[in-house]
Amino acid sequence: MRWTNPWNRRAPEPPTGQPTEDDDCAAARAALSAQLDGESEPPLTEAITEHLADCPYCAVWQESAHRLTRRVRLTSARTLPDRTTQLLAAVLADQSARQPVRSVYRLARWGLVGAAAAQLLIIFPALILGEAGALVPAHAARELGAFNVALAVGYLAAALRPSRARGALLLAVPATALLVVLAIIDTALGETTLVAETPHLVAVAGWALLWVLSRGPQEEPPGRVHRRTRAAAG
Amino acid sequence: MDELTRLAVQARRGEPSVMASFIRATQREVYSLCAYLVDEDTAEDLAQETYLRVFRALPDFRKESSARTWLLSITRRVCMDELRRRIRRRRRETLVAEFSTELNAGFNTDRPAPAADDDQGEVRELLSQLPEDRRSAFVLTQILGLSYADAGDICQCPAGTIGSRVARARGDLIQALERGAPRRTEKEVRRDAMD
Repeated sequence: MRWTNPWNRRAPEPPTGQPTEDDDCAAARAALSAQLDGESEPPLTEAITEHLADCPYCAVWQESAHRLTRRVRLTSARTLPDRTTQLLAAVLADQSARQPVRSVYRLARWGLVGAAAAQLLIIFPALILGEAGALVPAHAARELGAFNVALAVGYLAAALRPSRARGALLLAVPATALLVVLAIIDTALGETTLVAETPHLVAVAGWALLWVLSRGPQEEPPGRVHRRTRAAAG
Repeated sequence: MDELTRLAVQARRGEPSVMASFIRATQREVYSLCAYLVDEDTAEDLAQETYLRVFRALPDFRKESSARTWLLSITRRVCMDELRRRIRRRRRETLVAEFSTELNAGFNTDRPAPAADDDQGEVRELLSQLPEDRRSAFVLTQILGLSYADAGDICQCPAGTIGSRVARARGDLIQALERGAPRRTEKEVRRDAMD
């Protein structure tokens, strides 16, 4: 229960059920309101029951709230015409207008699945066998593999749910940009050849596809509504 | 899985007859929420906009969630967008009105508020004076009969917050009813100020 300073109480007024600034009244009314709705939060604690017995304002409020609730619930619902046909026609027209756009995104999603598969296939020897060229130590090759697997997982995640494309892009942009820049520099320095660097084209393709997906209309968030907020309720 | 959620999952395949059943089962609630949160004149348009967004988003709908709260949260978002649009427009119009009163005193473009012609209209009139968050909480729980938890999912806030908003909305409405006449709308206040 909240402790209220007795000197802070307002001077008594004729009971009208008007809202007051009083914390006790506010808590009592919140509990009464929840009770009217058959909800247990906030609960009618002993302190609140005591307050209700003493406070004439809240007693009036309770009565008014009861009447109001009944009145609203008994309000006759207007009979509405069935507009299913018009609504369905509008939806179908909208969908066929969006068809080309949607097929681009579907293609981009499948493209990402392909990019992920190619990436995994290319990196498999490095990750499992530790082989990534004669000059690369086995452990370094495996670590290289780990990073590439992460990139592939990013592609797959975005392909499964396009809303993740922006997040995946955050990872793919620096990785791909560095790969390309390093490939160019190292080719110029003679450390590698462009042919040896061709597997990085997969990363470039993945980056491009992620970009296409992330430009897509940000649809309504998927159907899971915030369950977490329920646990935090109180 | 409830019946409506099953219907939503089936409607993902794009079969028009299933889509029609989903619309038929939900249109009244969608319309009603639009009418209470915005107004009756625009409710039909808002309901249509809602269904366009719903079927665009349907491929991402997951069967673990409730189709009803999912649909109503999209409906509420459509209504919020409309209200925001109106606020912007009103601001612009007020600016224009200030200029035009200087040029052409007494010129008034405001439409009269639609008359409350029956019980439901009267309740709606009362509710339209509530702040938006309280109105949403009140309409969802009292008129559509949702639990605090479901209303919280729709408004993206904890169930406890819905509870206190409903309680405050009740307080506001009781006060408005006690005062007899409904409170003057913002529009009326502005009109009087301009006279």
